[in-house]
Formats: sequence, structure tokens, C-alpha cells
Amino acid sequence: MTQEFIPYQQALELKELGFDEPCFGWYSNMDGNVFRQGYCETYLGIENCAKAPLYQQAFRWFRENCDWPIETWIQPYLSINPRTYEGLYWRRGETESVGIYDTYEEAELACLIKLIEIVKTKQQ
Amino acid sequence: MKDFTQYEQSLELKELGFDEPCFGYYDIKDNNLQLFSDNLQDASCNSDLKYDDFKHCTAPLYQQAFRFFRENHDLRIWIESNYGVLKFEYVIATTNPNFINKQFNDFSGYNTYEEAELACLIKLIEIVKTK
Repeated sequence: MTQEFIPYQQALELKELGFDEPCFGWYSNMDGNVFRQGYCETYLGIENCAKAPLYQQAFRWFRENCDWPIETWIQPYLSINPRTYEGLYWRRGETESVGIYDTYEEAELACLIKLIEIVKTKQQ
Repeated sequence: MKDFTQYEQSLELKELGFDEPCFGYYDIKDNNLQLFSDNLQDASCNSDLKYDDFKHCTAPLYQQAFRFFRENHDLRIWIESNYGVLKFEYVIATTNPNFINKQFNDFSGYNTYEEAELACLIKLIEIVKTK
């Protein structure tokens, strides 16, 4: 069920941004960033160890915890190739594209990376 | 738990063929959501497993449910926010020739993302059941 979780790098970045919710898995640096499945309520206090949020948890966290409205979604690129997906995000009244991808999962990850980038830039 | 589909939709998904491992299940006696313990997570936790003399129905995550419709029925959804009026809306699109309507829009405006998500799931189930 690892496909349900965001990758290690993004999990670490979400941790840095303040994500701290119970998860169904975590990444352990002691095992070379190996994913471990299991309910995890608190961080273990180990550097480079991170809880593994579900994709839906990560996107909800951005939706509910940013100081300003931000939203992302993935939709089929109907006008050109309906088998592909476009990642989109909305903020400050404008919708922008993250890109066109062959799979939903690629678009999903691209959107997550984009949201992290936006929030990190905002915090700097 | 916002992450899981509700009991009624979980049952309907099971009827539609959803058959994947899940992190939670509903006890059919009281409809309460329970989380699988570690030793059960890798088990074949499909449907109607006998466990301590009660039946249960696995509880898919919303992302699992939407992936099920995307990969098995070519029903692809997205939920948009319309921050101009602080509402959420959803769209269902398909290229599947088995469906007459290729796109369904619900712009009625839901107060929360979760309300739109649930409404979308209910509509997906209805579409497939009436195919």
C-alpha cells in the first residue's frame, strides 16, 4: 500500500513545514529511509525520520493550514489528450497549471511538490 | 476520521467489486470504524472476513475509492474550490463508451471539501450501478 503515501523527500519537507498528524506509516532513516507501515501518532524525535502522510492528508493539510486559500487538483486534459492529466493549483484568485502528465500519480506528485515550494517560499 | 469513506459507501464499493487491502474496517454490528492492527494489515482484508465472530466491511480511503473508479471504470473526478464564493464543486469525466454522458458537473456548491468529496463518491456509485 506504499502508493497511498507521499515519498520520503516530501514527507521530510512537510515535517519541516509543520505537518504533525497521525499517519498510517513512517520513514525511518535508520534503515536507509525504508518505509514502515503502522499507525504513528507522534514523531520519534529522530533526525531525518518522518511520518508518512497519505496524499489526501497532505493536500488537506495545505487546504486547512495555510494562512491564505490554496487548493490543488488533478483533472484529465480533456481538450488535447483525455488520457493524460493536468495538475492545477489555485491561489490569490488565479488558477495556474503545474504541467501535463501521463499518469494521475505523476500529476499528483507534481502538485504536491508545487505546494511545498509555494509555502516554503512564503515562509522565507 | 476524514480519511475513510463512510459505512454505507464502503458497503456499496464492496458490492461494486472494490477488493483491496485497507487501513480500516467497519464492524457491521454497529457501523463503527476500526483500524486494522499491524498483524492484519498485510492480510487479505477483503470483505466479510470472519474476525472474532463478527463480520466487517473494509473501509477504503477516499483516494483508494477514487482510484478504483478511475482505473476500473475510467471515471475521473476532480474537486475544485470556488473561493470567489467559498464553495466546492466537483466534475466527473469519462471516455468510457459504456457511459452515455461523458461529463457530469455538480456546481451546486458545497460548504466544505469533504461534503463535495462525499457527494462525488455517491454520484460515482450511482453512475456505475445504473450503467
